[in-house]
Amino acid sequence: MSEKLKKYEQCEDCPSKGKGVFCDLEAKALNDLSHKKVTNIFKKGQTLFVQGSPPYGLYCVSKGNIKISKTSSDGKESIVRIATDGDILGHRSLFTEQNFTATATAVEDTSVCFIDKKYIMKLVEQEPSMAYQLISKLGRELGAAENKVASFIQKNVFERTCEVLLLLKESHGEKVEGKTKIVLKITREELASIVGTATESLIRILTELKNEKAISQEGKTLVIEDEEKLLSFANLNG
Amino acid sequence: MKAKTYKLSSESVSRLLKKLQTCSYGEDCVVAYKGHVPFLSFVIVKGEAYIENRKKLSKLDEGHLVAFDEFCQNLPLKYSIVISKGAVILAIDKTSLGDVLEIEDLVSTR
Repeated sequence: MSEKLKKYEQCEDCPSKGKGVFCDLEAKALNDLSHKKVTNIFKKGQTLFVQGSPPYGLYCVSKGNIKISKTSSDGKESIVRIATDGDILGHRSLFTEQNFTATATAVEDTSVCFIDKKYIMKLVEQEPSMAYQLISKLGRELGAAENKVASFIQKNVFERTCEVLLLLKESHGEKVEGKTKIVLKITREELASIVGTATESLIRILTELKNEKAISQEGKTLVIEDEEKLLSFANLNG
Repeated sequence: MKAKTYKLSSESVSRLLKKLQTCSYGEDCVVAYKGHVPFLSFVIVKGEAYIENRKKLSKLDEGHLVAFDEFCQNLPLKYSIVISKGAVILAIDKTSLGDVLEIEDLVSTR
């Protein structure tokens, strides 16, 4: 049975310490932040914020995974990214003063801290290290978004699937006996949404990759057996 | 099920409308979950909302201020708050709390 998720009230105790934009704050500032933030555990399927609603603060993921999805006018949901331990959410809407452009939903029980807008703005002014971390994060996210756009234009579904598996290996991989398990609890439909294809196509491609011995499956968990092969299939080798 | 809510006068709601941004939802939407410490308190400007605790529902309509005590005291909610499709709400956050409400605005309904 999996361990029950705790609320991490103090930043010092956070399992993602060192991964987030607030982690470089000095002890006093971090302690102050601990008292100002509100921590809740969002159960699988619960929503942090909804596309179109205004931002009132910033969310920080202590432990767990949140899917960020956009819904089109015809109701189709597309997952644009998965936020995990140490990630922040809502920062772009907060700083651009726009309503949320996506919906954030827990894909598993997730501990999330909320810091209100006024306090965030104060931190940005008074703590240059945090401001720098935010700028770096925005830069990395922009780079990732550009890579994703290029991938959609230049690569076919098979190549994109391999690329997404490699990205998930980096963000959610757990090394076990020379192989890497992708420990993210998402459905095949959700994985297909991340790749940008139909579920049936994804399942067909995963079967192909299993036949090539690039990946295997343990229950519902995907395991990367041969990373070099996946890199080659994704056209990422040199 | 008892959940403390307040009823604001129409003058108070009008004053809040000048200071805060409204928000509406295209579908019935849970804006706060039972067991969570609320990030925000909500005022129903138009339409309806519901307090849910298991299957018990209490309806809230225009002028109701909900989750205010829990929001101010950082207490976990004993109910979920569902905003109905098409309802218009105002959300009060910690930033605006001191600016927008007077004690006299708050008339307890329960």
